[in-house]
Amino acid sequence: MQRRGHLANIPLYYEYKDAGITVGAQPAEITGTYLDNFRNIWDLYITDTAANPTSLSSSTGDESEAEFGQGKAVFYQNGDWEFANLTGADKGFNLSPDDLAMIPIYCGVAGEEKAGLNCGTENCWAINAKASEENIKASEENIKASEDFLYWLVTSDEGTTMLAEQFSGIPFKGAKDSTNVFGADAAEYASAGNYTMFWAFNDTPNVDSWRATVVTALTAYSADPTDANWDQVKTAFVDGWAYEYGVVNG
Amino acid sequence: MKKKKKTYDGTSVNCWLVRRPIQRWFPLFILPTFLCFLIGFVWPFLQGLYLSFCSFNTPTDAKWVNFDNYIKAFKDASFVHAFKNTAAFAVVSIVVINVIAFFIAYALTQKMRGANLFRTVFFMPNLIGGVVLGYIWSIIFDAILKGYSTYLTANATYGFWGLVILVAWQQIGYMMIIYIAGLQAVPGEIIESARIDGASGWQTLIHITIPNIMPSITICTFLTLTNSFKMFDQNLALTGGAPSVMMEGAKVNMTELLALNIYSTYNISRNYHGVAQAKAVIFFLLVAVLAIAQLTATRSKEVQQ
Repeated sequence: MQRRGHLANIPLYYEYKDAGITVGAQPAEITGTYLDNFRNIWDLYITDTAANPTSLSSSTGDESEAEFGQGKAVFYQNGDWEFANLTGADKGFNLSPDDLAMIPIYCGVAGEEKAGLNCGTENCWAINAKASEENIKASEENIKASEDFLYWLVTSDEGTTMLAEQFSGIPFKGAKDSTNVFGADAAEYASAGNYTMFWAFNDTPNVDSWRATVVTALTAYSADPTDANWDQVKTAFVDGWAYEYGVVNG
Repeated sequence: MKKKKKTYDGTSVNCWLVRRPIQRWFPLFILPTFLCFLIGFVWPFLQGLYLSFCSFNTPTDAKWVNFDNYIKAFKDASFVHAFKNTAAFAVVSIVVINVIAFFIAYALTQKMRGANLFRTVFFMPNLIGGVVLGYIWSIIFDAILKGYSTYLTANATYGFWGLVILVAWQQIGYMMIIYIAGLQAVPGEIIESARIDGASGWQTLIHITIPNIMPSITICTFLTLTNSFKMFDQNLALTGGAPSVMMEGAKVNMTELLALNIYSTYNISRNYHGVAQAKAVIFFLLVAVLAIAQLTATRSKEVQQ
């Protein structure tokens, strides 16, 4: 369900890019200009999938991971953190890094031959303004300590080695080379001048609720891919955004 | 009533030697339960009432907003939809549960082998918790519907009838027990004299048995009615309100009943905690009216008998 929802970053990204919106400047309404492109890529996902489209409602991420890991599927949507699972022995996949690559998601947008990968993250720190003086101070100290730790992680020899080995390549000076080919792919696209699709999805108002409605409509469309069902996806996408924006800010 | 003669031998409950300590000390014995009632019921209820007029994130950080929450609650399309769902569900489940429960009870009070075993088996679903039942039935329904290339949460109709089947399966056994008790209390002489007068089995059922078990019918009807209005766990576990769609600019969970709607409203966002609370108060009034109607109706039946 999450992955299906995450693919929604593609139409959101292009819409943000056109309008010159940066992540964080959440608009009250979206137009869904690129939803037809979203449909293109979604149709590709459901027509040539290893699973029966009608049974997608009950399919899980673990199933698609296994299909890819066991060589039954050629494409699999996931992130660079999946590298260890795919190449490791834990799940019995043991794929060779040489056989793996991450490619941009194309969906028929003009100029997308210069597309790069989707990159983004979605965490932040916050302190409750209504907490007691004492707790606020403690939180500030915790955040300071966390910052020190992160600084150590991306600068020290030990930290950067650990990151490269266990996580992936990181966009910092002095980062160690990583065996994670996905991170290397991302860097390669970026250095070749391709645009990185930033994580516009972060701006989704009331994200779980919005995504649930969109995924409900997508599931219905997958079981019965008609224009009428795609209109439901559009409604969930565009009207749902305006509604959830009102819920959160109204 | 004839007044009882006072006795002073100390063996009667009416004797002052027994009565006076009880009269003097009963507050002490009531106190623990009364305190629990205050802490666990009265105080949360009053606080809930207060919070329904507030905008709040945590109960200690509430801001008074007058009737805003109530206005939002009544304007909310999902609340109206949940109310319609609940009403439809109540009507359907009352009919389905009571008719089937009555006929099973009728069959099981006839002389047949293994009647006790059947009674036990029919009662057993009632012993399983609603959430467990909901998950089990969602698996069953999905497994069946998969054969038809569809799934339980594909549309509101499947979810609705799925819930009816689940609840019927769970409650029929309970109502059956009440009907069996009622049927066994029907005097054998009346049935016998009806048979001697030449009444058919059907006539006996309509004109003798059913009028004689009216109290059971009233109890079961109201039990199923209040059960349907308070339905929550089964609803949550079976569909969780799915599918959710955008209708006229508002999000509506198609298979949500009232109690689940209150729950999901609370989780919409922090701005909706007060609205959920207001809905809960409205819900309380509704269930209270039903309960009072139930009491009045059962009492008037008792007088008749």
